[in-house]
Amino acid sequence: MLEDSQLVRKVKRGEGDGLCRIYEKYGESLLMVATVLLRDVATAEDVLHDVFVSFVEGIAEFELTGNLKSYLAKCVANNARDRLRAKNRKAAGLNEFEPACLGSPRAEQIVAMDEQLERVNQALGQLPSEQREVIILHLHGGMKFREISSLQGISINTIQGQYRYGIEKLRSILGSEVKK
Amino acid sequence: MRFAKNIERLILKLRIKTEPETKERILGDALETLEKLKQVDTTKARPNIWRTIMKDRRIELVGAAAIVIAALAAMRYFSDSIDGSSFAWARVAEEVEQMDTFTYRKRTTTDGLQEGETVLHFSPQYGVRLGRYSGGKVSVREFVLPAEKVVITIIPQQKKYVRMPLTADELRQMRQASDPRRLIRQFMSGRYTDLDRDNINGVEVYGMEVKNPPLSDEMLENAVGRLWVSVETDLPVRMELEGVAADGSRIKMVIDTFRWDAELTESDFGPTIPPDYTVETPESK
Repeated sequence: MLEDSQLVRKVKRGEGDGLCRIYEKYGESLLMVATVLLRDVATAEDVLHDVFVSFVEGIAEFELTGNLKSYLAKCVANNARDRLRAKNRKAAGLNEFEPACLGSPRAEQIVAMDEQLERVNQALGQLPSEQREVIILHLHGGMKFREISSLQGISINTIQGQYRYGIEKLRSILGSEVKK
Repeated sequence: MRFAKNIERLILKLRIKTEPETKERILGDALETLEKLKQVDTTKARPNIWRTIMKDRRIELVGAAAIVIAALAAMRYFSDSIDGSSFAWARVAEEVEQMDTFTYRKRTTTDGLQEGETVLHFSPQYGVRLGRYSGGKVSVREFVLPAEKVVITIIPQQKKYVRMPLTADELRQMRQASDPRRLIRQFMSGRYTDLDRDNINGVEVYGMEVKNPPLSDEMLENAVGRLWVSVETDLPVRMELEGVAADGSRIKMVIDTFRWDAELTESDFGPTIPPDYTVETPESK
């Protein structure tokens, strides 16, 4: 398995397989992050497209100082928010934080999975969006709470609280159903 | 706590369904952009490797190393035919110089008889840790500690240890002697031939063989060096050096099981000396 630093060096040398490997490593998680934020898979794919193009365009100056996955997740989150703000400017009155189930209205977009995962998916959708976002950014985006706090402009204590309350709420929804 | 861990594990399993062409749709333009950038870069006079050398303060290139990389890079750009081989080796040279920490195993045979093996850990920050094994048991443990400027040698069979101060020069020499990259540089500065692709323990490799490499330490006649590098990572997988020593014996050294850019911590280099061991001062030896 190539380390991220080596993959970045491959991309810097213009090797396309380096970029493909980065996508294979992190693409699914990044798509999950974008989809949770945008509630639409097609737009989420557009976000990933833009993020990877920007990544390549800036590759000469790019220096990997931390975690590549969380860097890309931040780019995805920023791009997604820009799109949401632009969309909301066009249609004033829409609540950006309209609660929505991750699995609806496009439940068919979630990979067919076992019953337990389906329940988890439905339970996630019942969380307030800010709690769901923090959970997905942390788990799928690989972002530390400090990074999420910086991204969202909210104190790290609040972010940690949202994560904790989100997990607690999932516990109360799912009860003892969750098995190892 | 257990629920939290379980639920986190399940959330990580959630996936968005994608079509087969999703990857192409997402990456297509990025790959095209990358190709265009590569074409622009090859028209520049200075090779990329020079920018890396000049920019990266972590790379310590002294004398022979800089010459090796320069020679290999120059061959890539100034030969009449594009020499992919020399470019590949220049890339290997670049990759290994980026590796701050690593571990490896070294085995030496004399006239076909194995003399034991050494496992070595290297960190520019914490030093060198060396374990010599004979018959499967550790015979010597050695710790070169730059922060304290000492070398501590522990001999378990005798329940003894020696602690010796090092001058800055001695410290540098000991670290150099433990660094296989010096041998790699020496191989690459010799006249080498490419070896066929092979497979070493499941890793696809390409290799070089160099006859009579310009060695600084090993006094070997008719020396032959071989280096195999992973196709995937451009990092060395196995090195061999064999030749005839001054006393006529045939020596063969194999260095393998590399772990490049290994995660090594200070505790990896902390010598653990059992309380019943006695210290032997260098004067009392």
